[in-house]
Amino acid sequence: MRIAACFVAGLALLTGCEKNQGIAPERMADAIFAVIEADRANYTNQVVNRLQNEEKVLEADEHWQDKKLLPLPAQMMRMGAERVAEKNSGFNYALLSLWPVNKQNKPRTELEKNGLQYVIDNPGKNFYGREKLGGTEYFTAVYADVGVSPACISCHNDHVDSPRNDFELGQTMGGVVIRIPL
Amino acid sequence: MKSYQFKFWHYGLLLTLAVGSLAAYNLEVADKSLFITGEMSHGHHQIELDCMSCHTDGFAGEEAMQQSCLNCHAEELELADDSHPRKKFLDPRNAQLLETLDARQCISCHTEHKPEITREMGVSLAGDFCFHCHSDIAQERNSHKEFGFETCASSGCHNYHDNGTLYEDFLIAHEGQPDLLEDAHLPARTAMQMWLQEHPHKQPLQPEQADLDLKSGSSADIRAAWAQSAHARSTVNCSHCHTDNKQQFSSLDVVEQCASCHSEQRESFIQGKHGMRLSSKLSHGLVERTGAMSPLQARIPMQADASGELNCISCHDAHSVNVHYAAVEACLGCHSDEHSLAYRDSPHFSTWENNPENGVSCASCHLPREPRDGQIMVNHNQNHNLRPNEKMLPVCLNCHGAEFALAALADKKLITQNFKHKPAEKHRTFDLIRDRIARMSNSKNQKTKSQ
Repeated sequence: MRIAACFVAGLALLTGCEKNQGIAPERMADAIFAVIEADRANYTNQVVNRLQNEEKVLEADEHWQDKKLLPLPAQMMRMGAERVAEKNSGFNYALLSLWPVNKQNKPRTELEKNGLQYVIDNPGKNFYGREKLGGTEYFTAVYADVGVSPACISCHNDHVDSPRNDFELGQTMGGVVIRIPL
Repeated sequence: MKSYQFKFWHYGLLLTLAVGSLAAYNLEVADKSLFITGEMSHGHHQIELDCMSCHTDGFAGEEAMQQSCLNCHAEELELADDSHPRKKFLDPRNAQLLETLDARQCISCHTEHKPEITREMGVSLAGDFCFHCHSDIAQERNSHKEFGFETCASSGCHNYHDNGTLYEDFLIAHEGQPDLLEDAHLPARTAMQMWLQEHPHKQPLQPEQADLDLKSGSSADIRAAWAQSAHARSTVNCSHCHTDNKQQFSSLDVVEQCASCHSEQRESFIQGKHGMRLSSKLSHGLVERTGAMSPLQARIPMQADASGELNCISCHDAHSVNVHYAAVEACLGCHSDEHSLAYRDSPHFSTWENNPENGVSCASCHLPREPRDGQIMVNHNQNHNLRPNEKMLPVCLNCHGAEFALAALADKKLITQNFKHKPAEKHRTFDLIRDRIARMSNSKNQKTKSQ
């Protein structure tokens, strides 16, 4: 009886300690992704697709500063990721793909490769794992990046550097990779 | 009296004290020159005695050093839309690449005090440094498979930082232009024109209206020069500059005084090698100790009689503020390298002789007229578009086609001859661009057929 009581008390203590550690990395990554995904969908649909494809008043272009046009949705997201990284915010994120227009955005680590393949093979599911980079262990989550607007599909299908040109609306085109140092 | 017996270690102690005192004196009181570990690059040699500007307190570490670099260079990198900004490399997925080349730190590529390994642009890495991250470029661009990695950043094709005019869409847009454009002209300066529009009823000041009575014999000449100047035209009287009847100005005084009306020109002037010692970002008191830059301290060939400090009135005479003199005569009064000496035999000089307002002077290329806030202003940082020289392309494009201009900027012999002839060879970049245009066209045609 005493042993059982000690076991229950120890378990309660450990549970309490875990609670004191704050939010679990998986939940934090999910929450971060929800914000990224919402902003990305809104910018793509409400700004780029509306102005470029529907109202035809302003296009999005890779060289948006020189040409005084809109940043591409992927550039907009990367600008956010770089700003977060500069502020040393405690996490990083990146937009990657197995078929990137810019080859610097193809997977670089084994976990990125596995994660991107997983979210393609398992629609609706996320990929979670751990990896060690530069001496630091990271919790790494990969979320499917789905083509939400015709602007995404047409740009990737028509780009001369795109390794794939048969994307369809609603299809997974890549993934958002979120890393939290442990 | 007992004579003191010196022992060997006494001499050692005295020698150590003497050397230590000399070092301490040099470090704390004198110019710190004993502590310079090697010759500095051409970009920093003027400020080599201002150790603290880069090293801060000497023990602050890499981050502080990085901040020192950004303290002077951040704005330029921002303007250039830096292709490899530090923020790009903060993602942990780059960890393996950073182990080879830490692109987050300027000093990874620009190590100072190492003249034996320092190349153009102050780069202290081997010329094929692009390989570290782009070793698989031939898989992405089949057209690049025959190129050596040492040519990426040295052939007028790519720059590490500034690719403002070296990206595909820009070159495609400028493909097929003639060597000399039909409507070749430089943008007109707007400052005086705008002032006249804003002050239509103001009349030029006359010599007798000068409000400072000089007693010296040259006063009539000064008064006459001023009366013909843009200052007299825009009702800037003597006392605007000679506040409190001030007659003697240091270089710092001159630049500050001019900046009270020409602050943008001051900002660009102190970013270049002519004015960098006058920058407020350097340690307080440096310019008082070293003086402003002088042709005598330059590392490139200068005229034997060139002397004095560089400030606004070195090129623009203080009273005539003559922009035409400043555009050619002032430059050639100091510079005597081959490129400068060849200018008077160049077609550019002919255009200048025929039309000083719109001809091509030294300043047309090296102190370019640039759009800023709805005006055309002269960028007084003469080094801005030479780091590297493909950055001069926007200036050339006022008169020349991009293919012609890029070929000229890549022809080192032609540059030495001050563009006396047409470039000997075409630039390979445009062959690649034409291949690329054909690929894009084929790609579109195939898609149209398949629909």
